[in-house]
Amino acid sequence: MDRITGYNFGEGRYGIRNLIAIIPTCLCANDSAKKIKDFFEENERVVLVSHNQGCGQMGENRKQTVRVILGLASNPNVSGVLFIGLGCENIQAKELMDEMPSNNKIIHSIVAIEEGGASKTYLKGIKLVKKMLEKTEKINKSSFEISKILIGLKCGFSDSTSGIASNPIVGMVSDMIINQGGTVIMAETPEAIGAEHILAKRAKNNSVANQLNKTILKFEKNAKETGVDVRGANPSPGNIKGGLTTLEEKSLGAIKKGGDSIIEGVLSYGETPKGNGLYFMNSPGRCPEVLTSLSAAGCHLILFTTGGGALGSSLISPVIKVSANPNTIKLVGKEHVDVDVSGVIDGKEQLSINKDKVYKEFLAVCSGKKTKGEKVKYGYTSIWSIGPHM
Amino acid sequence: MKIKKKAIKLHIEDNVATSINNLQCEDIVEISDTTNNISTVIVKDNIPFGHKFSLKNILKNESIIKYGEIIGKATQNIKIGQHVHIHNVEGNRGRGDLWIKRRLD
Repeated sequence: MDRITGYNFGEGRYGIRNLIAIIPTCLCANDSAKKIKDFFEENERVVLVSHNQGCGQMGENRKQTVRVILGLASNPNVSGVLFIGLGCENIQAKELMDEMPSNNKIIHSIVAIEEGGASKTYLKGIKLVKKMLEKTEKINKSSFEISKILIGLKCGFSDSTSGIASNPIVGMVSDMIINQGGTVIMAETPEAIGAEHILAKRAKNNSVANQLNKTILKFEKNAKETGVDVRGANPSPGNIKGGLTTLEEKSLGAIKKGGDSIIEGVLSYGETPKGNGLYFMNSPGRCPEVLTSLSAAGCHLILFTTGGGALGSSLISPVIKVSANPNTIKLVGKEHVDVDVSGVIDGKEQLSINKDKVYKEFLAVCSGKKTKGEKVKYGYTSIWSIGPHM
Repeated sequence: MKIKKKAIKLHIEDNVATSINNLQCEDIVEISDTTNNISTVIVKDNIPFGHKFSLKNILKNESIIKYGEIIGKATQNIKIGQHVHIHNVEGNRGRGDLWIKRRLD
């Protein structure tokens, strides 16, 4: 079994980054959170979570947002958390503080109205983040088994090369990680429509197969009830330009990133898996909402295939971008693509060589190598909303 | 030296191949499949990199097969070598336009 040189933070938390996360409890607290992050602009250990939820939400929608916010704060790469609340919102800082498990991390909160407004919140926030940075700085790297790793899978700005090369390659790497006891989450429910029968055949048992079918068909039902053809929304204009004609075609290529492993279960958006192996998470297809839910589920990092050159990334769960499109490599590869697997397309290179390239990059990023996304500091977060806001 | 024009057929049952070059009408294209067999087709349209063209004559309403699976159906007759994309194929899934039509009828 391969080993990672990451961090053993204690109390069962193993990470590959050592971050302080500033997390607004609601959309109105974004400004305060951002101003504090701006003070630490150059400090890569400080990450900002921004989102549009946390107020006016009810029922399952509220539950989901709470789950995701707590999940982001609980991510194994996060060692310190500063919740910023406004004071009047539906999801308050106190509730989040009470619900947070400890996992050996420092957790603070500021409620802007109680603190006395923007300026006082800003000063207190800087003070607390500085303290957390100091307290969590001195931690030595430590070797641990790959079985402790949880990774997420994503495809964005897909084209024909995604289903032919980059997704199958990532699928092989996913299987390699699972065969060593690791855990992998694939998501993007709309991009399983048309391929659900293939996933269902790989389900651990009938119950999981039924859950997969139910989850995917429900998503399709919601789309149909809009009364319009889904094409143009998904596949997107970029997908269509890149050669993908229908949603089914896109899905059949997309699911290949999940390899051949048995699907152990179906997760709700942002839910952490309870065991090892491959899981399917219910999520929409939009990149920031998927990346955010994978981070909330506890992913250490994310393997992200792109045909046309999606720029989205994550600063909580480092994103490794893989592309098989030689034109994309030429255009944006230097700044945005971590692994070039385009050699497969013209037959110059075998799939297996490129699988090894991606796996090697995965081990390197786990052990500290910065991804292109981390270098350009791209990490926009967003939480999927599933209900009306009142 | 003339560049060899190539395409990939992903499954033995596929009736389309995906181009890995930009193709000009009348180009002779070498198609490789998963068993390393090579066949050729003369394309009858310009086919951009990554786009599909037909490997057979396909009738209107016939299924388009890629990855050995149905990816949609032809909305008109398609001749061998023609571009296969949104102008002559529609998907069967996520069709809210058909759902609403059935509800209003």
